Amino acid sequence: MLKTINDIRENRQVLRSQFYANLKITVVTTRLGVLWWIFDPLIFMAMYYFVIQIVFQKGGPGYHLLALCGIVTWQSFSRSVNQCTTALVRNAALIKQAALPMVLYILITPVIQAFFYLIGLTIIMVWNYPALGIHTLAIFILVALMILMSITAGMFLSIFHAYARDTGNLVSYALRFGFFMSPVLYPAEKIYDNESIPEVAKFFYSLNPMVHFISAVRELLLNGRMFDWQPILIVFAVTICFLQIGLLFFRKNSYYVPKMI
Amino acid sequence: MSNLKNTENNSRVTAQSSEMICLDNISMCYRKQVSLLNLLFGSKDRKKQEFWALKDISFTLYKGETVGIIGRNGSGKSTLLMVCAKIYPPDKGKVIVNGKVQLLTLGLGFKNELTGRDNVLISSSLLGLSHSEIKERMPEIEDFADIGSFMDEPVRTYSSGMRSRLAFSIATAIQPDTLILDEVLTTGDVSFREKAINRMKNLQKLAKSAIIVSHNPNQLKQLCDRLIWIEQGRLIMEGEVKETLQEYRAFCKKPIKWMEENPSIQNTLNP
Repeated sequence: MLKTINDIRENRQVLRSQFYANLKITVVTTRLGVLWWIFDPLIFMAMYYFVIQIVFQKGGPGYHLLALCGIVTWQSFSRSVNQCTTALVRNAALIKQAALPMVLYILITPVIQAFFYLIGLTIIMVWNYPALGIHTLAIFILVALMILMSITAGMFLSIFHAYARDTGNLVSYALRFGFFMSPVLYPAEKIYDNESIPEVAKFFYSLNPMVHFISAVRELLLNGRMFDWQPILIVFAVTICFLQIGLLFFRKNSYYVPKMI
Repeated sequence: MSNLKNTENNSRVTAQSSEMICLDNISMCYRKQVSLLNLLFGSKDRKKQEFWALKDISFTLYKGETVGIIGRNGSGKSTLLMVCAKIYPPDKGKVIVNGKVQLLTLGLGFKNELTGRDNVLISSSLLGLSHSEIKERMPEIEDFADIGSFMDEPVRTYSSGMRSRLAFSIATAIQPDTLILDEVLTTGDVSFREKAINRMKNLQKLAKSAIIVSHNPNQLKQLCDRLIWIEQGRLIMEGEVKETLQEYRAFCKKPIKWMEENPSIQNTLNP
């Protein structure tokens, strides 16, 4: 991990310019430019609001914010993971021309997605301003955790994807499944308080880090309280462990990647 | 025991600092992608799934020297350059590279939607320049590219010549220890090509070395000190520019006849 931090430090210029370039492209390629950063989460919210609240008459008061929290968070996570998976293959041209540490290509997308995530979260904060307070700052811990989780997934998935392009398809299915297995459109209590679901299933459900993650975001931004730190700390610790393994895996296997892409 | 021998070899090679790149019996192999179904039910012949792009190539690039590489399409030139630039790890053999090597293929990391100026920033940061260094060299790059107000237009509106002008001026502004050019000097109009060649000559004066792949004999004669000719991934000839070009031309005109006249080379190609 230290070596990676060193790589990042040495190549921070590259990260900065790639970050700048990627953001700028989203602005200059569209007529609405920056406005898309705000419209994107709102359009998704409107769609799910229509289906759940109007068609199914479920959800209850404040559902739009509950859904927005879940959607913004999930969207950011799934885009990060998806783009991390294809990062090496997408940047094949660069990898074959510049002998940069390949870890960099995995780092860029989660950081960019985190930027968009912060914009989405800001919309929620403004919308639900009574919940703001000193605890709101804890959101940065969660955003950092999001970046780490995506990078960790990317360490493994990007290599698999380089060796077998099927990985990208499988990841899309897995993320779609994860969307429903995470409390994106419903509060996590719906599962925990449901007595017809066996305890074992609830246990497996709680193994999904996004369950705790999304709950924590809602606790912060909707209820205006500090989140329960215990599950988040566990997710953090597990992520760090896997990240270390992932980095070793990546270093060992990225050697032959240029030839495969 | 073999380990000991290796380290000895290593120290011997690195001791001479004038060697910029040293390839020792390099072989490179591509494996064809096989689907799972084929893997389970197909033939077990591994050799069919392998393609040796380079086979037992050794050569050394010295400081201040420009070496040209010739060969027909698909002979392994580009792969060889990638090995020199430390992008492909060889499957067999050893590569020793001293100093910074930069492979110049046109438009490193260019984003078509962004302006030329933005792309200078992106491209040169990928080449290892810091923000202040880029700012410092921007006028020089702009001046050399000489594309006028197009600097502030998106790169997608550029003609291919303008694109390569910009790319070339960025890549040579960084002055790596070894510059590797893969058929780059053939683009652009006559006046730019001459400017580019002059710049290459300047780089040579600064004791920077270069490897050039080109199909243009005149350019090779102008720039190179030595030529290497590869065919089917094997080194056929290494030597004076004129002699090597002559043989290469003879080969290209009548490959079969040439091979018959040089049975020793034919034997190495088809063992």
